[in-house]
Amino acid sequence: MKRFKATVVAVALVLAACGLAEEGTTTTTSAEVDTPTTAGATPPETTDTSTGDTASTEPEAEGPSGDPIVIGAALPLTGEFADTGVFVRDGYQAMVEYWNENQGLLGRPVELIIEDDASDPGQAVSLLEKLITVDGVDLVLGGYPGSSAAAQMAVAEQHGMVYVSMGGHMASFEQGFQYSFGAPPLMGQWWYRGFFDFLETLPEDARPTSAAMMTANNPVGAAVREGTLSDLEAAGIELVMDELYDLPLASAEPLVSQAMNSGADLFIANSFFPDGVLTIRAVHALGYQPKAILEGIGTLIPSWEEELGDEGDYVFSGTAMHPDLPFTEVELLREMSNELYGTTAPPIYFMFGATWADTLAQGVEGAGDIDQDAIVGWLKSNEVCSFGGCLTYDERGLPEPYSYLVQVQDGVPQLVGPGDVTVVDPIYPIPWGE
Amino acid sequence: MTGLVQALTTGVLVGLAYAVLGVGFSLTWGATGVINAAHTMVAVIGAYLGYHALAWWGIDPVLALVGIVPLFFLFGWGFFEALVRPLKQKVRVVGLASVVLTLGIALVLESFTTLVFSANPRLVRTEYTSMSFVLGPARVSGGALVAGVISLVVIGLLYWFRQSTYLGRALRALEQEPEGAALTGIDVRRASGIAMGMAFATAGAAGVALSLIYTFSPTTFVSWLVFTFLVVILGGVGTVVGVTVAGLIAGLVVTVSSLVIPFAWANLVLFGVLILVLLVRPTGLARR
Repeated sequence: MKRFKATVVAVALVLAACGLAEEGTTTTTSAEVDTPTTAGATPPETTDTSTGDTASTEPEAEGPSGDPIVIGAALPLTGEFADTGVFVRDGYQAMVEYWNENQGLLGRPVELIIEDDASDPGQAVSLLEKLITVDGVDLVLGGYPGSSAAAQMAVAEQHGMVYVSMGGHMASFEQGFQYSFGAPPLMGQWWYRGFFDFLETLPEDARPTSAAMMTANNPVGAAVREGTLSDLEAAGIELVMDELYDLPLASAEPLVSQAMNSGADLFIANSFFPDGVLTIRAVHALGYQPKAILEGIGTLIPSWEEELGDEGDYVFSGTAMHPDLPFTEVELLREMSNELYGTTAPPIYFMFGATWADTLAQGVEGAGDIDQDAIVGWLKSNEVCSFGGCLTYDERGLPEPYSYLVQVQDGVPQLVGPGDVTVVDPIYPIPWGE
Repeated sequence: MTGLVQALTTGVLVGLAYAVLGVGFSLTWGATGVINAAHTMVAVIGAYLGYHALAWWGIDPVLALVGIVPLFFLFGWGFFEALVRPLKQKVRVVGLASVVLTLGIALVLESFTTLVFSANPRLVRTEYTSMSFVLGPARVSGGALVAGVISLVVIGLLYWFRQSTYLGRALRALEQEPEGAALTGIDVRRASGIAMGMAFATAGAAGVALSLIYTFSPTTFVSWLVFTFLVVILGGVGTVVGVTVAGLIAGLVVTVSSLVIPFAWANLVLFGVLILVLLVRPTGLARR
């Protein structure tokens, strides 16, 4: 009986492990799609770049043929970053299916191999190495989050493979790498630029005069803090509190209390979701009423509005991507999102994934080859218009600094700036008590 | 002065949250020798059940404890009979083997929880979690206050049980001298199963309490496990009072130290206190 129980437990553990292993690799092949109709790597009706991409081409009758182009990526499908990693995966898969339903890449079908790095940058590196050296993929796509992407950038560079991703903030793009592109990047240093641009549109006496800042003690927090310090100085806003904290955060009350006592009328929490939620709840519990609140990453996760409700309202954040961006290309993602998630507002990380894949595809189509140097050359010498707008890339693989401004209003992260993409006006100062 | 009172109030509430997570863990470690690394995963499942009781049926998570606590008690007892007892019969040193076993179980449960509830982080939101209460010069959120009350009730009931009931005294005897306890007629197998059941029940209650303060997802069990180890090592194995005091010390160190030093140093102070206590009292604060 004892032996039987032990066997049952062992079998259960092995089965669970097998389940994990099966989840570990996802492959999307051309065989899964059977309705090839259109040409090109990018959606129809895209912005005309006149740069050789095939985006505006009407659907053609013939589908992709020949040997598949194999693309590999390692993403966090389990573990700490799985909640956003799966959206990046969905973005990659949706684009590959879209290409295969049309004319593939260079007229060839596309096969996608996605490995699960279990949210571990070490595994992300090993798996990318494996994809390149063992699986022999033709192209690679970027990892997530920044720590994994930054680590993978070096691997891609070593193997001379084009690597399109969010990158790992500014430091990762200053390594002299030739093959990496932030398209768009998730750049902490630019994070609140949209907010500070917005402040410049206000009368001087309406702007905040002092700021209190708390920052998660990790590379992402440090990157956001670095940019914010410059932006505050440029805006002439005095920084009266500048605290770091380790994750996980046990309580935000001490920090919020300190910010409140400092009298700062701008509160900045360079936080993630769990600590961001603790912080916003502490702001409400303690009755802190600054003119504006900036929050780092938490507001970009759908759970922010789903779980926090109206407590999360009026918080500003930055982003390089938003479902309401007024570009024609975004319409395709809305359709994909409706099919996948039952909502026409595509999740932001789904959009990031789709955009990185689309940028790579435009490079391939523009170069007319899967030669990595030719793709790099094309991407660095042409404007690339995709779901996040039209961008040109410098020697580092970065576009000009930019950030869209988002504010949560009525539980929805609204695009509130800059002017040419504004969907609704920002609410400032926060109407506490209304 | 207001800042100090605020820090003390917050520290006590955070400390109670640490403590309620730790008492059950400490109980099984003391009574059965099992270091249950899956303890906080059980708490996370409790948090999910409370969350979904509210989301699916509109039942307040605190009321849902009426179902969660007995269910987890049975689950814990079954866990002991199916896994822990066979393990104890096969190995001489249970501690390390139990860590390996229960860590494996925790990872399996984490995958299962992700499959069932998704990896999306969750947060319990009721009318009282959005409210703010004034306690003298301090203000606290309704969620933290209710979590504090749940923690006090759980810790109080566990203390009463161990001090005032036959079974509780049997468990204490088991912690001190298992063979001697058996010789006096205590049914060691039954008492150990009940201890594990009670630990699971407190983990379920702790999960609900913590879900009123913190967001949670399947991976949250790791960070909760760090808190749990901290207070149990500091407070002492198999002691409700020690773990509770350790939880309060941890909470107060984090909140009060930030009044005088940069917040980033709070953990340094906390682990400094831990090292000091272990140097002076290697078995933890509560001498058994």
